[in-house]
Amino acid sequence: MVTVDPAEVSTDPNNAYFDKATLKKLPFGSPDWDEKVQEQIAAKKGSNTLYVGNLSFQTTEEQIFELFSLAGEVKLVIMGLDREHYTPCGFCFVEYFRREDAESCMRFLNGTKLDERVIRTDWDAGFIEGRQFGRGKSGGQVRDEYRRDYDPDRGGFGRKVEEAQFAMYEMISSGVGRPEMLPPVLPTTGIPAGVTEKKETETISPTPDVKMETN
Amino acid sequence: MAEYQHSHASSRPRNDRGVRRGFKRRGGSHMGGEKRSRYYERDVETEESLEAKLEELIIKFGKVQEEYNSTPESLVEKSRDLAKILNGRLVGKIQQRMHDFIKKRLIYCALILPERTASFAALIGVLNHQNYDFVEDFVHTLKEELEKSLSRCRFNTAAQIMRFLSELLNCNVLSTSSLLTIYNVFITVTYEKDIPQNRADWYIWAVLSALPWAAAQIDQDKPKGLEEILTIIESYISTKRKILFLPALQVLDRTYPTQVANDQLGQLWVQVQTMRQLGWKEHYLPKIYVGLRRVLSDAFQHKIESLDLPEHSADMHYPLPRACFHLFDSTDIFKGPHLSDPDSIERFLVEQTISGILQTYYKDRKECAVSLVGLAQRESSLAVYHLIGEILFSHMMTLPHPPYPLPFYASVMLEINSLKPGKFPAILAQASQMLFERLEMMNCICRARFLRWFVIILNNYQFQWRWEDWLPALEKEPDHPQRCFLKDVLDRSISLSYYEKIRKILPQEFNSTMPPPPSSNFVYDLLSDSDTASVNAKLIFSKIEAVNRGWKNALNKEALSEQLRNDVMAVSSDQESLARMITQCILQIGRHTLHFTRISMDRFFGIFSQLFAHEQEKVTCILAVIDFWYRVPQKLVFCVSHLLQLGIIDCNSILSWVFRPDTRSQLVSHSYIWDIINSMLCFFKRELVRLGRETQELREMKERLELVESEEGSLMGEPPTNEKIRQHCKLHQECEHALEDFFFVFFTRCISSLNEYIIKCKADKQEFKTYWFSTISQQLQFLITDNANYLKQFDERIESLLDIKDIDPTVSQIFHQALALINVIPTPGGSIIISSIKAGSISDRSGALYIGDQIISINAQNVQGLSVLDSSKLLQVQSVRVSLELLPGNNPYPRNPFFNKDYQPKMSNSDSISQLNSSTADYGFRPGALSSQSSNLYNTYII
Repeated sequence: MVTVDPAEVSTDPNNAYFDKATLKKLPFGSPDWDEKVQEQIAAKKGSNTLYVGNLSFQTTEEQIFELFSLAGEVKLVIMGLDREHYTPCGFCFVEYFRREDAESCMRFLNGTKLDERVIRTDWDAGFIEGRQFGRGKSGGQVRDEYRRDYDPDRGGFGRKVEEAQFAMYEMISSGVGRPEMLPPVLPTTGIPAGVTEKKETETISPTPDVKMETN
Repeated sequence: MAEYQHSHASSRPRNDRGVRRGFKRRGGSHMGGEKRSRYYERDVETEESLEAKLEELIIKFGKVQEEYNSTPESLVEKSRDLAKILNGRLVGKIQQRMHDFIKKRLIYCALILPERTASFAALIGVLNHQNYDFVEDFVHTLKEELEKSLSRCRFNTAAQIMRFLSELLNCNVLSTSSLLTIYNVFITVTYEKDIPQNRADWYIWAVLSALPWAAAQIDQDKPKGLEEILTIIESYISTKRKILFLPALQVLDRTYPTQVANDQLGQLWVQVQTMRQLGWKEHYLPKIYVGLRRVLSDAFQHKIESLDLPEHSADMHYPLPRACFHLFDSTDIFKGPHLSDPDSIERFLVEQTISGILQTYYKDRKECAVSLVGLAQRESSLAVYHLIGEILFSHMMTLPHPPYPLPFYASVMLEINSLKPGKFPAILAQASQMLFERLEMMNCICRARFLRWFVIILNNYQFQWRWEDWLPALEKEPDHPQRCFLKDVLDRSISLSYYEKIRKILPQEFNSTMPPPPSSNFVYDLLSDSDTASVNAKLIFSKIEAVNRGWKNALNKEALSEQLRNDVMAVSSDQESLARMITQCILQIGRHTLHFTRISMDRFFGIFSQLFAHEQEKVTCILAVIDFWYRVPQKLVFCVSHLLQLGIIDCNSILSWVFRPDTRSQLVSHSYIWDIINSMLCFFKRELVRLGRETQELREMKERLELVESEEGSLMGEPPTNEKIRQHCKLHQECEHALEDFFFVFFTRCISSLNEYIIKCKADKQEFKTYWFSTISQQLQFLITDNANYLKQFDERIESLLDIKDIDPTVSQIFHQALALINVIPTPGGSIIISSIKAGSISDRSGALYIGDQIISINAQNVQGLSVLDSSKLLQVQSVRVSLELLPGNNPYPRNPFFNKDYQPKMSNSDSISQLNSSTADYGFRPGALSSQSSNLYNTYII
C-alpha cells in the first residue's frame, strides 16, 4: 500500500515487456491473446531470467556479466544480435542462479548506468533459442526502426528515418529537392546524459555513413 | 519531493481498483445477468471507494509532519479532524467491516511507517477520547500482533510495536502499569535456562529501544518499577552477557579514535544511561501529545494484563549481534549542523528512524531516497546526511551479512545524490577517502564490499575520481591492503567498461602500473615451434577445432566424440601434460565470449571426463585455467565454477589448489581465490536446495499417482520408482557430506597453516600478525559466522580439531570468537531469584522478601541447581513454619530493619558473591494460606 516493489511482475500488458513473437498474429484483447499473456505472466513469476534493454551496441558480454554479477551469481548472459550481421543490437538476456538475485537486480540495478547509458531490466519468461535475434526489418530491434532521435550508441537515427533522409539526399544531390524538405529530426531527445557535447556535433551530419559504420 | 510521494502513494490504490473493476465488468457480462451484476458493482464500488478515501487519508496523515517542520501544531489539528472523520464512520451504523478495515489500516500504517509513530499514536489518543470501545479493540489487536510477530520471528515488527505501545502511554491510551507489565515480561527472558544469548539480547534490546519514548512518563508515575527494570537489565549486561564475539564482527580491527569497541546492545545501554543521568530528557522525538493534553487527559486508559512470550525452539533464529561502526565524528564536519555525541540518546533515535525508513522502503530505492531526504530536511539542526551515509555504510559492512543486498546501498546513495547533488556526493567522497585511509585496519570481507560498492558508484560517475590522491598506495608493498584494493578497483573498472577508456581517465602516473590489458593466454603460443609440447598442443587444438566446426551438422555425435577421444589420447601418454593441453585448447576455442566458453566447455569436457579422474589431473586442470585467464579474474572465476558444475573438479581439488605453497602466498593479493571459494560454497548450497526440492517433488508425485492409480488404473503415467527416489536421496546426502567435508578440510588446513606460520615467525623473531595472517583469520571467521547456524551441530567436532599438540592460543581464539556468536548462555549451577511479589500477599506484608533476592535453601534443603517447579514443590509441604535462606539481591531499597538485624545495607554487584552475607529469616505461615499463595508468591525463575 505504501511502498511499491519494482521486482513485482507487472500484469499490465501495455506497460510491461512481453515476448511479442508469441502474441504476433493474435488480435489485441482477444481471449487467445489474453491466455497467452497470462501464460507469460505466470512464467515470469517463476523465472530467474531478465531482459536487459537500452544497451549500447558497443557494450560487450563481459561488461554485462561484470555489472550483473554485482547482484548475485550469474548463470548465463545471452547477447541480443542483429539477425543479418551477428553484431550486438542493444539488448540481452541475463539468467541468475537464484530468483532473489534477479529480484535484487530488478530493484537496484534497473535504471543505473552501463557504458554511460541508463539500462532497463524487465522480467523474462525464459530464454528460448532464436530469441537472441532482433526482429526488426533490418535485423536489429524493432524500436530502432522507428526511433526519431539521434543516438550514436545505437547506430545513429532510426532506420526508417535514415532511409527517408537518404532518399532526400539523393534527390537533393540530383537537383530535384531542396534542403528544407529534409524530415525534421530532433537530435536532442534521446541523447543520454553521458554523451558529451563534442561527440554530438562531430557525428551529427545525417549521412548514410552512420549506418555503414555501425554495421 | 513530498508531493511526489504524496501523489504516488495515494494514486496507487485507485489505479489498482480501476483495473479490478474493469475485470469485474467483463466477468459480469459472461454470467449474463447484466442488471444484477451492475447493481452489485455499484454497491461494492461505493464501499470500496469509501475505503480507498479513508485509506488515502490515513496514509496522508503522517505525511503532514514533513511539510511543517517546526512544532507540530498543525498536526494536532489534523489528528483531531481525522479522528472525527474516522469516528463518524465507526459510529454511524455499526459496520463490522468498516471497523475492521480502519483498525487494520491504522495498525498497518503505525507499523510500516516508523518515522510517524508519534503522529499515529496521537491520532489513536484522540480517537480514544471519542470512541473507547474501538481503541480497546485496537490495543488488544496490537497486543496479539506483538505475540504473533514474536512467535513468527518477525523481530523488527515486534520492536516497532514496542515503540508504538510506549508512545501510546504518552497519549494516555495505555496505563503505566500495563506498559511495565510488558517490559517485565520481556525481561524475564534473561532468567530462562539454556537459551542462546541472542534471544535474551534481543528482548533486552527491544525494551531499551522502546524506553526513550516513555521513560519520562514512567519515571513520573512509577519510578520504582522503572528502577527495577533497569537493575535487572544492568545485572544482565554487566555480568551474564559475554561479548567474546566482538573481534569477529568489527569492521576496523584496531581501536580507532572514532571506533567504539562495543556492540549495539552495549552501546544502547550506554546511551540509555546517559539519558537517565539527564533526567530522561531528549530533544529529538516529536511530542505531539503535548498539544493535545487537554483532550487526552479526559480519556480513559486501557489495560494489558499479560503477554505470552513464545518459548525458545531450535528453529527460531534471533537477530545476530552487531558491532558498532561509526565513520564520522564531530571533527569531520567543518560547518553547518552538528553531529550529536555517539553516547547521547538522540544519536540512537535518529539512527533508529533512518534504519526504520530503510526497512520500510528498501525495495523501492526512489521512495527510500525521498523519505531519507525528507527526514534530513525536517531535522535541519542535525547533520542527518552524514548520519545517513554512516548508517548505510555500517549496514553495508555488517558482518557476517548485511541486512539488505549489497547493490541496494549503492543504488539508494545514487538516488540521494540525484536529489541532493550539492550535498550528498561530497559526503560520499569524504567517506570513501576515510575508508580508504583506514583500509589497513579494515576486515577483508568489508574491504571486498567496499570495493564492490565503490565500483558501482564509479561506473555511474564515468569513473571520475581524484585518482592522483591514491597514487602513493601503488608504491606500497604488494600485500598492502591499499595496493590490493586499488589493483582490484582498476581490474573491475576495466571489466565494467574497457581498457583504453580507463587508461585515458587515469592520470599519466598510473600508466606504468596499469595492469596488462585483459586477454587470454594460450601458453603454447609462446613456446618455440620445435618444442614437442607446443607441437602436440597445436595438434590437439586443430583436432578439437575441426570437431567443433562440424558439431552442429554431425549426425552421430557419439561416434564423433569417441573418435576425437581416441585421437587426442594417442597424442601423448603423459596424463598430466595431456590434461593441461586439453584444458587450454578447450578454453582457447571458446575464448571470444563467455557464452562460447561455456558452450565449448559443456561440449568437450564431457568427452575427456575420464582423463580428469584423479586429484592430480584435477589440480592441473585448475592451474591450466588460471594460466589461461590470469589477466581476466572475472573469466577465471567463471571457468573454475563452471568446471565444478560440470563435475570435472571437486571441492577437494580446489582446496588442494588453494593450499599449494605458491597459491597460499597469493591469498592476500589475488582476491579471485576467495571468489572461487565463495562461488563453490554457493554451488553446494544451491545443489542442496535443488536436490531437496526434487526429492520432495518425486515423493509427492508418487503418492498422488498411486492414489489415482488405485482408483482409475494407470492412466496418468508411471509413478517414479522407489529406486529413483532413493537415488535422489543418496545424491542429497552426498552433497551434504561434500559440504561438511569442505568445511572440515578447510578448517584443518587453515589451522595447520596458521599454526606453522606462527611457529615459523616466532622462530625468526618476526611479528606474525601480518596482512597474510589477518586475511586468513578474517576469512575463516567470516566463513564460520556466515554459516553459524549450520555449523552449530558440529560444535564438538570443531573443538576436537583445535585439540592438537602445541596449537597457538591465537589460532584457537579465532575459532572461539567466531563461534561465540551463537553461544548459549552458560548456566553455572542454576539459582533461584525472586522476580516478583504479589502485592498484599503474606510475603509482601512480612517484608522479608525482596525482588532480586536469591533463595538458597527451603526448609534447610539446598535448592541450588533445582528447577523452579521442583523448588516450589518443597514450599507446598504442609508445615507450620517455612524457613528460607536468602542471599540478598542488589536492589536499591532500604530493607525492613526489623528483619535485617545482621544485614548491612550495601550496594554490590551480584558477581562478587563473596562480599554478600547471607541472612536467614524464619517466620511462620499458616499452612492453609501457603498452598494457595505460593504459586503467585514465588514467581521465580532460574538463571
